[in-house]
Amino acid sequence: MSSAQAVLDRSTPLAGPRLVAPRQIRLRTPAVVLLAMAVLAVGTLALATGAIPVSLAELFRSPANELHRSVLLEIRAPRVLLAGCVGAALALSGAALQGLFRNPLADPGLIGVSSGAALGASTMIVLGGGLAVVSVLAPYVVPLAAIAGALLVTWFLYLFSARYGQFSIVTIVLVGIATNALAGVGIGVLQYLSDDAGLRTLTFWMMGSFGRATWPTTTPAVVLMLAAALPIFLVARSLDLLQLGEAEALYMGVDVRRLKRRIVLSSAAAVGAGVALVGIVGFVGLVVPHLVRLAIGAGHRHLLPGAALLGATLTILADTLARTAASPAEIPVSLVTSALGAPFFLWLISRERPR
Amino acid sequence: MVARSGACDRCLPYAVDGAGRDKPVPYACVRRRPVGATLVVARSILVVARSCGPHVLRTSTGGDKPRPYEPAPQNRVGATLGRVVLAVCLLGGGLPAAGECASADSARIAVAGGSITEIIYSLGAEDRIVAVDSTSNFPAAAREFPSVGYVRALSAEGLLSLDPTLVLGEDDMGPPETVAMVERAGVAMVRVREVHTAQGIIDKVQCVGSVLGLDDQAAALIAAELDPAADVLLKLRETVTRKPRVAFLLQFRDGAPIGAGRGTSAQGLLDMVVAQNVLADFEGWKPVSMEAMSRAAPDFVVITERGVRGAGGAEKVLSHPALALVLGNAGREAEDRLVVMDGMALLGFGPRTLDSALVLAERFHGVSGELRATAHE
Repeated sequence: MSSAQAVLDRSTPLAGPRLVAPRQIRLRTPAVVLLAMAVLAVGTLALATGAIPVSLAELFRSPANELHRSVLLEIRAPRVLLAGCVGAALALSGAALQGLFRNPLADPGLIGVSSGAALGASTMIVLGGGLAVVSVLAPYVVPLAAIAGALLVTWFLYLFSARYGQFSIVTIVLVGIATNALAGVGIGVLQYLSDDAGLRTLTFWMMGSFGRATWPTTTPAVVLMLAAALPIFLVARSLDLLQLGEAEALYMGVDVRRLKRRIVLSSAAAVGAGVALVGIVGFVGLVVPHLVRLAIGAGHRHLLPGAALLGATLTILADTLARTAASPAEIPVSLVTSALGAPFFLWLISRERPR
Repeated sequence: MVARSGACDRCLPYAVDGAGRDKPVPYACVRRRPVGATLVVARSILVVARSCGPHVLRTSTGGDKPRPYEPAPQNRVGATLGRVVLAVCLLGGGLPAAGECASADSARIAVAGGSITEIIYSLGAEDRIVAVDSTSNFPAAAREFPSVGYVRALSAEGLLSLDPTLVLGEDDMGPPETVAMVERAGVAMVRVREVHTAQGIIDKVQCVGSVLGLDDQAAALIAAELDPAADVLLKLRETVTRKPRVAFLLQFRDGAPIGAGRGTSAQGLLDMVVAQNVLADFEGWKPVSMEAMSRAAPDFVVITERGVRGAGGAEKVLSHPALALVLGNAGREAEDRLVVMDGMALLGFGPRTLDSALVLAERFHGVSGELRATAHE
């Protein structure tokens, strides 16, 4: 980290563009704490809810009912944890990308980062079959490929926007459509190429839901997501400054190139690790940061943790709904998130009418 | 060899095919690679070798799974060699049913696969079913059971909440994580192998019968209905001199018919009824262009009911350029050459598929009613 930025990060009221109204400042920290409590509450609720009626007290009863215990610890616990982490990763990446592109519509799903991850994962599933079987790193192979795919797309978007100046709100959606279509073509070609076993794995994978969460698959994904998310929290202050414009941020001591690289890398890794396991979950990355901004303002030091926590809360809720609403069957979780997210998306666009 | 071909006739994601009531649209299906086939051979040798060795201990009372195989330490090499020799001999004389179909506690069955549901009904054991998957649409009464969702998107807790003693499914039930989780919770999971031949159907019935402990009923059903039908089809093979040329279409997607190539379940069906698949120059299920269709010049076109509904009725299908070109303009003759049947009845490879095969064979070979009459004598 450059010394100028280090100084800036540690300090100071020096720069601080006023991004929030004074009334909101008092509310910000309590709001984040409140959200943290909400995650815990919703997580507990999700753990206690499901097709099989099990009480949480079962965990502490001493001749435990083996079935109930394993439902709680082997089926629900990894699932709730994964849902929380994926939701947090998506919302956090959404918030960071919106800050980076200075565009309210930057969402990992919308601009094609998620499909890039899907393409990476599919490539590995279809063409890297042998690799995944022999390697001791087997559980990491597909997530890493997904991260590579997400990275490729994010980098491409970044280069594209650097070349043609800032994306307008409409442009980013159009570029996203193109990226999604390209990734779709790639996946289609892979389906055409894959043999029977590969195709089956691919199909299972594309129907992705949190239902595939088991400890051996969840643990590596969670580790990757946490590792990817941490660097984003550290650059909150620089992201604030970036909102003034790239040149302005540079004059104020922000190493803009470095900042961009870090955000692109981290958000791609966080999204990729999630997508690799659960498929594409739409709209969380778009909606959640906006909700948090509405509630506690746009300062990234509170926005980022707030978005991560609210993302976790909402995704756990959505998944709980997905697995209980049609029990004993399940509805795809992306159905739930999209049903809630799409109208919000429309509302967002309608607000952007030329004044 | 019994390596499954065209194993993936149900490849579309859940969200696209909706409830997935019929066998939905497949993507490209490719035949298993030689490596896979070799593996299957090797595995079946192993299975046979194990089941023939002196170490198989099966309790006759509880219907437990065979105990894990542990060779006696002293003459391991000799014993293994002996089993391999035995296995090779047995392979020459036809494979006995492998150990997958061992009987299990079937008091409460969750079914994943339309053909399995159908077989359980025809064995009269439907009172043991507690839930079915969304491809189980026959008989109609089966739809009354709680649904565990699409056969490839099962939910672990959903399954466990029904408190089943057994999950009985087709080859393609999944996802694998769910299967593993349910298995770990102590529920028996049995996968019934699917081979796309008449014998494959009979084996399937036998397998379900022995899993349910209803070997006698299964044998009776096979002797009374399935074997005669299979025999009729087998005899047909000898008498037919010219194989009719047939194109099998699943449905229309984006205006193009999706046709069955090599290695699909439809290929298996056409082989059963002694017909030539005119689309066999590609593998799996693929969209067929108008030109390819007219070059293929089929005598008959088979299409699923779902496909016809999707296209908006039989007239629409007949007037589709790809079909009008090969079947002639709509009229009596064109209608005769278009065969519309229920997709699951055709491709489910349960007992119904044999009936459908007879009906198809009668249409193709111009012997109305004869085959069914012979089979039901």
